[in-house]
Amino acid sequence: MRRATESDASRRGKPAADAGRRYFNLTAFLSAFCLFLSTIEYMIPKPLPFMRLGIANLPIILALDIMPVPQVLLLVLLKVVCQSLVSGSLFSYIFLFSFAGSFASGLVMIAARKAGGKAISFVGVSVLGAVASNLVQIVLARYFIFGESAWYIGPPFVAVGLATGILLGLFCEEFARRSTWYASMKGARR
Amino acid sequence: MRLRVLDYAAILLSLATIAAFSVLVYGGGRNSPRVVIEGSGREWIYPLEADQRVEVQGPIGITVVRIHGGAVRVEKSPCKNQICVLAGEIRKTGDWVACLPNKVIVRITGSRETGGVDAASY
Repeated sequence: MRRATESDASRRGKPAADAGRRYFNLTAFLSAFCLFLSTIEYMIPKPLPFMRLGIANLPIILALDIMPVPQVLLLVLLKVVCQSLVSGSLFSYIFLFSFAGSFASGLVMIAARKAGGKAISFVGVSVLGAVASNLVQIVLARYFIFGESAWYIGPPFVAVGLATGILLGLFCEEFARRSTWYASMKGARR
Repeated sequence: MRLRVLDYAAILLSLATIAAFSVLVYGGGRNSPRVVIEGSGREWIYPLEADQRVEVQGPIGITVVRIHGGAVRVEKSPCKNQICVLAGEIRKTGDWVACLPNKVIVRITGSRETGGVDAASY
């Protein structure tokens, strides 16, 4: 991490071109964090296959404030791959669900963070992301697997998203408030 | 920590989504009788309660279907024998009326009314 900050300072003149390299370590670190959390997530029993806690999204939410948009999207992609590696669904249709849901949620969260400014905290961002992800997955389930009956699991599915979204958002707020590492990352970005 | 304005907005929006979704999925709308109109390889579905005039293009022209007061009938047909028009109104689940020359089929689907009597004789 130290090395990344030093090179930050030396490259301050041309920010866009070197963004990839500047955030290389941070992206690797956060995606490893995604992999770890996916494993934890996988250990927790689920009542239904698609009902996830979504704790693997934690690094993505934190990344919103300390990385530029392309890096956040790269992190989302890495998270999807990590998650499917852990659950063994890399080459199955579940990957498609995970991919679509994660990117919907990622894009919505980036937009919410940018548009919301000071009026939104990680709680709102996380809730919007979770609900977006779940809605997209229901629509996919409707058209690719279950047909009309997919709508029936919709409302409880979105409700679970709302609940886990709030919890995850609260955790992120608390983490961002207490962590000195996070504060330094935020500082380095400015 | 304190939630901010847009946090509440996001939560309310989600609750509204869940509520609307629930009404759509679990609400009564799904079981009420619907009019299914098939023609030229496509299918249209209308509620039986709402009055409507539908024009369906078939191979020999336009068939006009009218949904009115909980009943459906073929109002106008380009066919020669006019059986579909003479068939009159249909209003119960399972009933159908068809114009074979113009390949238009109109039927009513949905849950059947319970306790109804099909016919009575004395």
